Amino acid sequence: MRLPRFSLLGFLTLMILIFVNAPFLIIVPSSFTSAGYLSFPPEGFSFDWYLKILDRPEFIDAFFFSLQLAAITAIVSTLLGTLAALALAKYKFKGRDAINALMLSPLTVPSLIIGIAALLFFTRINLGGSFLGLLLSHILISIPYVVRLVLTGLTSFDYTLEKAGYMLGARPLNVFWDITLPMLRPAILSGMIFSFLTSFDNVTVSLFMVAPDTTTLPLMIFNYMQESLDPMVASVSSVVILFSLVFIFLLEKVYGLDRLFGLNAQQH
Amino acid sequence: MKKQIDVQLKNVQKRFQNQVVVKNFDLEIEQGEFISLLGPSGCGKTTTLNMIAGFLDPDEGELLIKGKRMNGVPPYKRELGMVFQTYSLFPHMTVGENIGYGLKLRKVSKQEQAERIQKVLELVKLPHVADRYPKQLSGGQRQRIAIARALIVEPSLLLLDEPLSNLDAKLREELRDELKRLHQEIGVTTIFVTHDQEEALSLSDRIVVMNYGNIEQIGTPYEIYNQPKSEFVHTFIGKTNRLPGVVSSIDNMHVHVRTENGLMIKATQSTGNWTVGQSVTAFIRPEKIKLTTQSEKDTSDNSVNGTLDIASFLGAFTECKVSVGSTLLDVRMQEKVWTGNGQDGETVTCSWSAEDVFLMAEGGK
Repeated sequence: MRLPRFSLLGFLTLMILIFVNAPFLIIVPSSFTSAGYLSFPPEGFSFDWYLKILDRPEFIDAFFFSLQLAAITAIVSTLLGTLAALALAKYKFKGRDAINALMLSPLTVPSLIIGIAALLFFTRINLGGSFLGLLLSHILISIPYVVRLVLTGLTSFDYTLEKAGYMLGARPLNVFWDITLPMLRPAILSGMIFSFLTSFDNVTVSLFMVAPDTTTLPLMIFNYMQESLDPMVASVSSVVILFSLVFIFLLEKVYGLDRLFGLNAQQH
Repeated sequence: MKKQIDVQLKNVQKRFQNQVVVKNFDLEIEQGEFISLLGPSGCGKTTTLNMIAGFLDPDEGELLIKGKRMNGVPPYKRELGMVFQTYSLFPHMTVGENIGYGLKLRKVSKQEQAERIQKVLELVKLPHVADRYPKQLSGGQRQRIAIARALIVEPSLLLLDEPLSNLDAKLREELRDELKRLHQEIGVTTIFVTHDQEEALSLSDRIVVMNYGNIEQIGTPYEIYNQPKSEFVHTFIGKTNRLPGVVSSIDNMHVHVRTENGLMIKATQSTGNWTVGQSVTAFIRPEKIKLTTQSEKDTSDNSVNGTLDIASFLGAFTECKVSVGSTLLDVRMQEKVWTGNGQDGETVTCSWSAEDVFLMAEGGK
């Protein structure tokens, strides 16, 4: 479809694209500044603030720590969330609606409140400030994305495919591995990515759960910004953005984003 | 020699909540038989098939396959083949992988798998599609692949759950003939669920007609069509004229019935024990009625004059509606045999033999 030279739709689309990308458009150029303070437009051009990251190993440590945390969070919440979604979609049991609502409540409760609740609870059971406590709280806020996405994937799932598998002699576990899981792969993978990014980005819940030796990158940047607003914040953020872009690019190459999100719905 | 019994259902019952969906179901299926479960939706035919497949367990009664009790045995241990209405091919597997899945589960060697896949693909006349994905095939082709997938494991029983219902008319007929050929070639005992009487009549050795969870009649297609045991069977299979009335007299040749609309009908005596004054319903198939112009001499047992209301030419036959007094008769003519010109409003004579009148006691079977 060719849009006319000026249309309201085209204008709105352009504005939204600019708006969504504005942070990148400000942050990335700012990181190349040669001045000693954060400014836009940047003054001069240099890689100074990228080199300075190397002088602050705690940022690099936090980056790798966040990466690990997000990876474990993604794996565990995908596992639990997928199983929960399967149970919710396939079986009728007492309290099903209640569990369904509970599974999604971390989406509706403000994350600040989840953070405080997590702090109080995990301190009580001696997990305050521990890695396990941090991990569990991240899993808690990531699970709803997995459950929602897998449930959506299951609404279009044809259960006679499972019946066909059973008739061919497949045991329940075979049916799950060979039929159900491959067909839900797009939904499960997108759930996994969402939970990874949820954990990797999170500030509010981490705020209450981290200890000095377990600080995540977003929190590190947050703390750093409170002390000094120098362009290193921009350079660190740009590295994170670059990392996310590479991640998405690889995903597109390996799997295809349209397939991943079911944009190109397969007919079957 | 008596044939081996492959499937036995003994007094099987199934309830959903408080509703009985299959009642006192008794059936024996011989080895190699093609048997259809026929009935309107909600008659319990699919529930019965699901019990045989193992997706549902009977609440009462026994199910035996090859002499072994199957109650409580899960579907994957029953060694059956099943074809579904929606094809149900695995979309993420190629045709070859779909067909080979059952063999893979049975740990058949790669080489034997390939050989058997090729053989079964040839059997369904699609030898070159093994590397394609199901979505690249047409509906008819997909269903052939689904049949191949069910047959490759050499099941003791083939279950067909309305396999032709999703296909358009021409393909349906083609695949119906294909099913017949396959059955003759392989001879696997087959249970076919359908609501389509034509499919059931053309394919089956025997038909089980079901209604509201009950078996109305079990018989060959010929028996079901020509010797229905209940009003339901007579009206569900084929078109019919339904004429309620009362037995007015009985002589040594005929039972005479006066219909509610005052028509006098002669039926043969042999159809049952009748008494004068008894309420009965007479049925006459549209194709058993002969249409002539009034001037022709007619010697049939029954002969009435009427007016041709509508004549619809449908190619192989013409469907007519004839008013006889206040009775409207459906008549199906194979070809235009009467000398009239078939125009609406023409006066015609309808005649039929007493043997073709099917009498049934009111409310009874």
